[in-house]
Amino acid sequence: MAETTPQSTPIVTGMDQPGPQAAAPSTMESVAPPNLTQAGAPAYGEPGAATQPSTTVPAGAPAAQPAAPPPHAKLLAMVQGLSEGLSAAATSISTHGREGGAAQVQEMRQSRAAAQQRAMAATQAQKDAETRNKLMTAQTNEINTKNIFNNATLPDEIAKSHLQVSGEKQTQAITGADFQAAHGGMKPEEFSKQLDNTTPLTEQGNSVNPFFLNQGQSVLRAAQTANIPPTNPAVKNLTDVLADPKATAKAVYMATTQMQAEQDRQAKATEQRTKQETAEAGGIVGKLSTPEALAAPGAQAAIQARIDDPNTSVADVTRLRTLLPQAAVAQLNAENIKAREARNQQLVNQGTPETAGRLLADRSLTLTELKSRQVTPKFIADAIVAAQKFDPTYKAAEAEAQGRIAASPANSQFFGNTDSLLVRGGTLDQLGAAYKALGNTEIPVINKLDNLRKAAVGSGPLAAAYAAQLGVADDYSKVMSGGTGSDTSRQQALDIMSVNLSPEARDAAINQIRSAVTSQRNGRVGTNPYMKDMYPDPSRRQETPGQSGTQSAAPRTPPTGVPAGSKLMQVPGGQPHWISPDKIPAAQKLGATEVQ
Amino acid sequence: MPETVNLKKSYSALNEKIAKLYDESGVRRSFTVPYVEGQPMADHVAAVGQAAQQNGGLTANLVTSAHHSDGKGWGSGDGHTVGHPAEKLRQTIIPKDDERAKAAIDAAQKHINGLKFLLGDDEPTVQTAQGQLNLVKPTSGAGMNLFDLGVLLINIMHTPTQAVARAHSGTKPGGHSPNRRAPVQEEAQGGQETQETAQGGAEAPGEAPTAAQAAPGAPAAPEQAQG
Repeated sequence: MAETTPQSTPIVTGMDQPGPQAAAPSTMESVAPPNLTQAGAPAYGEPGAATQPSTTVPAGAPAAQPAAPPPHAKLLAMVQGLSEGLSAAATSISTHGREGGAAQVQEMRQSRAAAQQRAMAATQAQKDAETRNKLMTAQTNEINTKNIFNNATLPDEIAKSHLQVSGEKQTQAITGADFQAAHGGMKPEEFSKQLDNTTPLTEQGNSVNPFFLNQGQSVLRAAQTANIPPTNPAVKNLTDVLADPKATAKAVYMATTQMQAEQDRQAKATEQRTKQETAEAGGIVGKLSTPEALAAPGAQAAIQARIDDPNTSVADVTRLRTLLPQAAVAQLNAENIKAREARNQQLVNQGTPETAGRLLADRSLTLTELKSRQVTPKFIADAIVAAQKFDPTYKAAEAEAQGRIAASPANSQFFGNTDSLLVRGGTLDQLGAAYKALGNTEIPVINKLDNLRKAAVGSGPLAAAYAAQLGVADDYSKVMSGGTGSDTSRQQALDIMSVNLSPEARDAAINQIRSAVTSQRNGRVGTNPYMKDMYPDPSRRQETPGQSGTQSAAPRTPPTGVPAGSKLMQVPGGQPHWISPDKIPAAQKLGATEVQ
Repeated sequence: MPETVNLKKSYSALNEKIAKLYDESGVRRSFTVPYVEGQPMADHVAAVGQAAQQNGGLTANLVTSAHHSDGKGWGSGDGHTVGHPAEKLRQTIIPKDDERAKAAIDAAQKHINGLKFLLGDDEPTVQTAQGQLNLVKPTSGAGMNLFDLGVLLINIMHTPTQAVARAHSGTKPGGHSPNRRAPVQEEAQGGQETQETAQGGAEAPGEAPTAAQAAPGAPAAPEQAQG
């Protein structure tokens, strides 16, 4: 009694091939038997009917015979050509050669050819239409057959409940089957029983389903493939449990579930971060914070213009402010590299291979730079020999690689980020000054980046402190992540700063960040001598608001005429000034702090 | 509202009305192949193919198959498959207020009502079929040619009929997506009803089961072709 929906409909005899007159219009209706229903005569196949159908078509008869050419076709063509020629000649004579002649004959022929083409196209269109009609008829017959076959799979009398009740049961069955598929073939009750089993999984001959152990190992391998560090608590827990000879099914299952949840969380966080970083890279801040944009002349003015633009969003304004010192450092680095190039060009132009060799040896000149100075191969070879005289450890290939690495855009960006923090008057100093302006006021803890961005827009020393915090967090994030930064690493920096509320603790936080960044910087410079030359020590440079690039650090000795005991003080965002001792309290009230 | 519907019967009635429309509109049949009591469906289909081939083939004739509602009726061997010349059907226009065309459209509506009853009014395939039928209902097909109306009434039934067959098949172990189900044995253990019960015992006592029900793949008797 099993019923099935036919997987493939049987091919009705004759439906898989065209009828004997498929290529030509059917004329069968003209010779079709009389309407049997009306006449009441027995039909073909019925008792009493003729043994053969009333009409037959000889198999293999050609669908249509090509039309025979008319008699004397050649003669007719000659006569037609002659008459066309005569007509054209007459026209030419009557119009004194303006019309007629060969051109008219040609026109006549073209016109005749076009008419023939139109006739052929019309014939073809008619054939196409006939073919379409035949196809439609055959398809309808097929669909009618399919409908009949589909109906044949149904019970004669069918109720709605026949489909619905079974459907619900099937859904339950599918749910049960899915559970079993995901739990090593165990039914829910069997699975619960296994979880209660206290027999260690690794015990010989235990009755525990191997699913628990296999799934745990599989999830751990997946975590390792996804580069989740072994120090991650979930990974560590699962590793420990799997290594424990007394681990039960429940313990392994719990650890596996925890690991899976951790993986899901990390995947979601990565996805969210990627989306955010993509959006940031395409925004105003993203475009202005590329290494090229920061090092471009006028970058600070462009950033300032965006800050002043009332259409710029609050969040972008605070992040744009942090770009100002970065632009200053990036421009200094660019100018430094440009100055190196100019100096080297001059030395090479005016000097000898010996001079160039000395520059190569002290790493003032890279081999790539030398090659770009339009010197001869002999000059280069002589310079390298000379360099090895000055420094026997000089190796051309190694030096070239070091030089190329030092000048890479990635390093240019990295040192831009570190130096905007470390340079005198940079973001770390700005933060220190902002904290000092607050005195003993406690900074309300703002532990969410978005809230900090909102709080940083405003006036007063507290807003300045928040803005400075944000600037440091942004630079720190870029340094630590080695790239464009992310909100996760910004939040890390914020965590360092926000939890320290006393003035001493604030200083400690700043020092902690300074040490971390300096360490990153020193690590990057390493033993590459070119980096030391291209990216000089930032502590010897001064970031001055409103001025392009950085300048040499301001002398700490007061100029002539400044009263003794005066201090160099600065209001956040303003110029440093020497303040006489009697005016220091008033300046402090305005938020000025001593420049370190 | 009836408890059950008989789709085989309503579809057979639709075919009968279409054939009647063609006959009484003056289009001569190309061929008529009657059902034969006890004849397997495959033999009947072969006979239809042969008759069609001798009359221009299945590309030149529109085929309908039905039981005689005024004879022994549906479920018997009293029926036939007829072919009408497609070209002649195309040339014949349905006049205004044609009762035969109205009867064919009404038969189509009745079949769709049965499909709606089983699948629900919001089933997309049924909605589409009803929408297409609604296009011809106001005019009863007046102005259309016989071929186009017949093709419409047959074609619009295809997807909802398929949906019903599929839904019904889905209730059986050998139906669609068998890999997504729990083992058959477990279903039986779970107290699922038997196949006979699932079909509701709708067949009248003494009625022969359909060929498809009797054995998958076995040819069906002609009377079951239209159910």
